[in-house]
Amino acid sequence: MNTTMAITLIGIVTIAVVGMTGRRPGRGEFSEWTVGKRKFSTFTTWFLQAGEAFTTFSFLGLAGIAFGGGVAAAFALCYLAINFILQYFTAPRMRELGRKGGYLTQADFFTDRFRSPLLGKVVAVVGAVFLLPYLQLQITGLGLIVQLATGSRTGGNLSMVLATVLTVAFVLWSGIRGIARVAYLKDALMIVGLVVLIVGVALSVNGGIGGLFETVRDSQPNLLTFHQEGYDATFFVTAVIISGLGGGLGTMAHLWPPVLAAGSGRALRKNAIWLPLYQIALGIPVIVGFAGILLVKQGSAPNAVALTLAGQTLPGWLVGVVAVAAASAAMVPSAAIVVGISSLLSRNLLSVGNERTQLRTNHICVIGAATLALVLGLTRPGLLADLLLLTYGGLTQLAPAIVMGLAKKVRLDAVPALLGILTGVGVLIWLTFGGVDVGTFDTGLIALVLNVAVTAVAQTVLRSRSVAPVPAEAN
Amino acid sequence: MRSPHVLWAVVPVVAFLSTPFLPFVNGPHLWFGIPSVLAWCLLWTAGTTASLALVEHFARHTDEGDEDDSVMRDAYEEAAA
Repeated sequence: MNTTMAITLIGIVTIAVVGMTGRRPGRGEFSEWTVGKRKFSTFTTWFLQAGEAFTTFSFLGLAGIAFGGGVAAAFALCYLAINFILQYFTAPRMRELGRKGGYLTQADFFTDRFRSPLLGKVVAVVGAVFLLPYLQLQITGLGLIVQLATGSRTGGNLSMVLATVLTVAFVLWSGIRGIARVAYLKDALMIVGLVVLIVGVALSVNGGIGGLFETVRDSQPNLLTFHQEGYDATFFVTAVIISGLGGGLGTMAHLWPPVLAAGSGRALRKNAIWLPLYQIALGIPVIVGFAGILLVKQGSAPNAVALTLAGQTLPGWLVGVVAVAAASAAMVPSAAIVVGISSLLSRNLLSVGNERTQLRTNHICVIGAATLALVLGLTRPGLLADLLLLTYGGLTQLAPAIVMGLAKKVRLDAVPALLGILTGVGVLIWLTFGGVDVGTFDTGLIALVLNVAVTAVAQTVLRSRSVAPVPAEAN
Repeated sequence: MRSPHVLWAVVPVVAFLSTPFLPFVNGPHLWFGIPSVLAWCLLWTAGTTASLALVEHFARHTDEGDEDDSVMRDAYEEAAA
């Protein structure tokens, strides 16, 4: 076992141990496990919310897009900022409703606001199905990180298993408090990892960062504009809109517990104001991706660029530090996603007994979801990769109903909301797998437009029927 | 009652979505040594904090404790409107 591998494994175990320390002695209730006592400080909520912005995508995907598509990678900065703008308005309202209605999950919101357990169940299924590939993405991303850092495929697979088992362990033991505890460590590691990466790149490129971009401008000027195949202006605008709406309107179930656990709406507003500044750090992987254009062999796998560069420019022990940082960026979102999936299944879909029974059922769902994602990630990665194409666009189909449900008076009925969601998801599946060519236009946005149209028409029809004069014979 | 200050939050959204359509941004230019598109997006990411801080400054708040729920419902209604 080389130094990098040893540091990586020690790091993964340390992250889990820190997560274990988050547990508070209690009566083992589901609400405590999911949202604590709804008194999380601004500080804790900050790290829980920031945790979702820095994922394996930050290390692998963003640098990969910059490597292949140049400045189009900046779309991540834009949609995350829009997420926070929307969250400034929506998150405190979600928390308010959650506190009054006792929500523990996103589906609780649908059940309560639309007075429809059926809608809650449908949302639980949609949420769980579309989040599973997202969980698998984090797990396989972690494996890829370790594989690239250590050069060992076996080590990568071993790390996937180890990290999944340890993540499940600390999530079961500590719940959201464990995730919060790990989130502190993860963000510290992320900052260190990103700084190490950018310094390594700056020292390796002739002329530093400035020299890097001058060379790219002179040799491949198209990479500095939206004139790339697959990464044009249409891609940029539609991807920013759909991802901005998706994150900002709480369409992903695992984003709800941190919001519901916040101690005040004020804490959520403060975080929405200041978290965009934190996202500026995402400029680093974009720059690293550009460095890959000069330093990494053309034709390399885009997702491998950041860690390949780390391997080329840093000593082994520092690559280990970067790998641990990247691994933590997989483990924290994985933990949050597992909580999101399991709570939807145990509380909303299965709807079993009291809180204690729910907690036991929930723990089984945690193990089941994580095992399924891990096994499919190891054996059939293509299966969930196909489903991942639907994750963001699919979950955003919940946005219209969420917007209407957040209003003081809900002016949308459950049936139109349900029809809209099913239409959106159906259209998205057809566009994605039906061979329909929409160019670089985001399919999720097309589905969302039709979703809104169907919802509006169904609501109008329903209302017109309900206010229609009652037939004389019925009186 | 609607607050026009909520509109400050729209400014960065417009800036982000207009990125590919601004010739002085979407071109092979370097600002501060980095691509102009990246610099523009980074600047407006910081600008998002500034715009939300403005919204917050002008918002009507009575929430010194943790109970600002009615205020946030109003803020959400204003933004939605």
